[in-house]
Amino acid sequence: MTGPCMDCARNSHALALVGGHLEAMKAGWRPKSVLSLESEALLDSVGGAKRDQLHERLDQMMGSWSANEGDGIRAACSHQGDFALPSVLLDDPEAPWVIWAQGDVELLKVGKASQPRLPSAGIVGARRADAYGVGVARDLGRRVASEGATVVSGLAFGIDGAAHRGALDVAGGKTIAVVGGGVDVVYPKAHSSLHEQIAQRGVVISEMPPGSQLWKWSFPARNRLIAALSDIVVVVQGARRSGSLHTAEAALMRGTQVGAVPGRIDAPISEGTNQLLAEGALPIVSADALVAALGIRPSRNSLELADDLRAAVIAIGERKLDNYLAEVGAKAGAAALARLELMGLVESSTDGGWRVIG
Amino acid sequence: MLAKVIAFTLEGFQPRPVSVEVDIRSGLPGFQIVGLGDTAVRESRERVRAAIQNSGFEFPMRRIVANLAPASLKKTGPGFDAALAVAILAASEQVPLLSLDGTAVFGELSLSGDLRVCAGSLPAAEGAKSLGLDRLLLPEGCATEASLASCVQLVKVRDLREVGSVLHGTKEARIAAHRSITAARPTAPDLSDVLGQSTAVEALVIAAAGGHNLLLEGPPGTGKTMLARRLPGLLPPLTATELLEVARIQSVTGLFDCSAGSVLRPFRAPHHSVSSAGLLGGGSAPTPGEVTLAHHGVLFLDEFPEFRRDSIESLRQPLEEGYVSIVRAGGRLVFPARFQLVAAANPCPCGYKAEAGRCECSPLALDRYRQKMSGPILDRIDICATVTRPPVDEIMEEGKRLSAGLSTEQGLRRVAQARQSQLARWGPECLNRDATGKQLNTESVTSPDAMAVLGEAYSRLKLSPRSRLRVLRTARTIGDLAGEQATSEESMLAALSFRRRGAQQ
Repeated sequence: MTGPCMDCARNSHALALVGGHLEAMKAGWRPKSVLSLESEALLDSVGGAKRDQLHERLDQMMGSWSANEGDGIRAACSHQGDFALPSVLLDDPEAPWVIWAQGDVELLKVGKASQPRLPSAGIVGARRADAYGVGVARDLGRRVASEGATVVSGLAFGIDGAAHRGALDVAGGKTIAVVGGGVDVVYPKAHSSLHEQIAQRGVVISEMPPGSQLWKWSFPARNRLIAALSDIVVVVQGARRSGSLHTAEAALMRGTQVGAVPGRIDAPISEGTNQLLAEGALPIVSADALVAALGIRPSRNSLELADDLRAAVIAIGERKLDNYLAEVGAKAGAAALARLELMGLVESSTDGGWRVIG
Repeated sequence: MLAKVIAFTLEGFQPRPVSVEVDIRSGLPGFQIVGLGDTAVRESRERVRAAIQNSGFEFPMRRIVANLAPASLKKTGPGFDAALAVAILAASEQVPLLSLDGTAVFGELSLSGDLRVCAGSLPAAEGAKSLGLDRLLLPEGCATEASLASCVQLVKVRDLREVGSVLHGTKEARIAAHRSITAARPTAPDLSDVLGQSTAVEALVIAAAGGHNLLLEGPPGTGKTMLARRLPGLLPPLTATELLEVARIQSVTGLFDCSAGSVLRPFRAPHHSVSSAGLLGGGSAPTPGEVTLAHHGVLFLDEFPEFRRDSIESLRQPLEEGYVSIVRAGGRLVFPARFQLVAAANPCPCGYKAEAGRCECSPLALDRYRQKMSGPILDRIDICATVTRPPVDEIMEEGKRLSAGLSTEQGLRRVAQARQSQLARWGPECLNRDATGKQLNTESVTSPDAMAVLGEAYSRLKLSPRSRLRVLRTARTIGDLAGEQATSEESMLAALSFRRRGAQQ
């Protein structure tokens, strides 16, 4: 483990150290001005009366610091590291000091300059999304992943979680979760299993050192990384002046295309997205529209199902559902069938028969 | 001379004390009973007369008037025979009047003077206890069920002659000991007899665990009835209160099995020609129907769509409220009816819709059938499982492998554990079937992951709000069976596949 260089690690740890103080400053700061301050300047500017104390604590922390900060956690900065930071992060106007990652770091090779070209879509939106939003987000995630592109999102409730799950529905589906705290800090708690799944089959990244807790500013800070990693940012649902729009703003700042899913004009949860559309965002009227925007020629039947789901489809096709159910157990089998039904891949008739659609 | 004996009549399941008064005076010999009795009461004149004479007593050749008070209360059944006879004997000074203090008499008489068993001795014993009486004289055969109830002294008597000697004190009374009630070991056949059908077996376990109503759909002969009959075996033993309620119902309806002396969880399977009065109970003096006989047990409706529409519709109240109230001109009665409904249905009138080419039903017949299979009752069925016809070679060759391998005992253990976590969550006597949407919609009960899937299904599969609630409940039970703190995504998905499909989701 080489890890990041000492200076970058120190800068990043300094951020975690003054997290609470940044909170107090609240209004009027931009990530650019604060997140990219070097550690000494950062502590001086926000530390106030506790400045000396903070310097001392940071010195102490870094004295015993080692590159290996946790099992299975890898890290890199612009100078060195366990993996190469993608150019989209290196060249970003608000570049992070260090990226900590849990999972398959190969997935980070996304972005405009990537070779071979690996398109990625940021799918973000409201935490308190409704069933429509959650369904659309899952569909978009699934479709993007099935076309071989990467789904980038923030692991939050609602849209974010659904987008990740959509990607995980696909065998080999790629997804990057950018989190606001340390990569080993599960937030929200209820997403612990999702967090774990992404760490195994995708990658969870953060610019904060492992163990860092979340502050209010962690979310807009994280949003800028989602925007940086995405070729297009799609807002599925979001109220006016919501955090989801912040990601769209961060995307615009970087010249990244912004898309929005149309919603009902009388639903507050869609006000933000409809406003984006009015201002010229790309209307995501179908999953195809998103795929086309990513520059992929949509391929028919390219959906590759995860193993358990595929086994169910095969069993239906061969009329051996009983055998399948006996093998995987009634509960797991029933769950797989319902999942396929939700995906619109199989159909059940009133007499209990199952049929593969298309 | 005037004599008075306490007896009991039933209003529903409630014992009502009736004082049997007999007045004997000079006049033209005759025997008249007044006090709103039914035919059985009127006919008891002849039985009482013959029984008294055939027991070596003298039937007074004077004017006898018997009154059953209160006069406004309808009295039914032959249970007053013995009380009438004793009152006549006391009024004619053939037994001591004082011996009747604090004594109630119950039983039917035969012409020979023997006391015959009649229904309702358990409520009578309970009534005697609540009146603070000392003893209840009753036929030997009724002693077992009556002894479940009370601490009132139960005196077993064989015939009127013995009644006489007990009242005279010349013969020692035979006292029936008080017994505590026991649950009979279910004799339901074992679940492991079922070959394959793992989905349906799982559905059965889920239904047992959460108390959910269940619909089994599938072609004829695939084992729907077989499965339903195995449900009582999966249900935990009745509690003491439940046992007493069931025993009372069985006592009133004459179903109590005196030889066993214990109570089995009811399993009722009325034929589809049953009338709504037969299902709910009724009659001018209302008697309990099948739903009440199935109280705390299972009501199995085989060939569900063949039942008369009005019979099926009448199940609404008991399914919702857990009781039936029967209102007649004479008054209103409430019968308990908290049962678990298991309905079985063929997929179409001929039954072979699932098998290509075998179905001969016309589209019109199919339409009509489907209409019968919808409606408010199915809205109250949480779980729907399909029973399929396994290919013949699999039954022959892979019979062993196909068997779900779940025995009733294993299933019962899973059910017991799941019920425990439900009771811990909802409080006593409340199962997932009773949970409200508000209770289930909290994060500690249903995980956000599961909620997200449900939301997706709600819009994608066009669930109705009510069927959404049913899925929530079922999912909670599946979660309880798996020992989950909050319902997981997988449990929610599994619950979705157990929902009922079709026009009325």
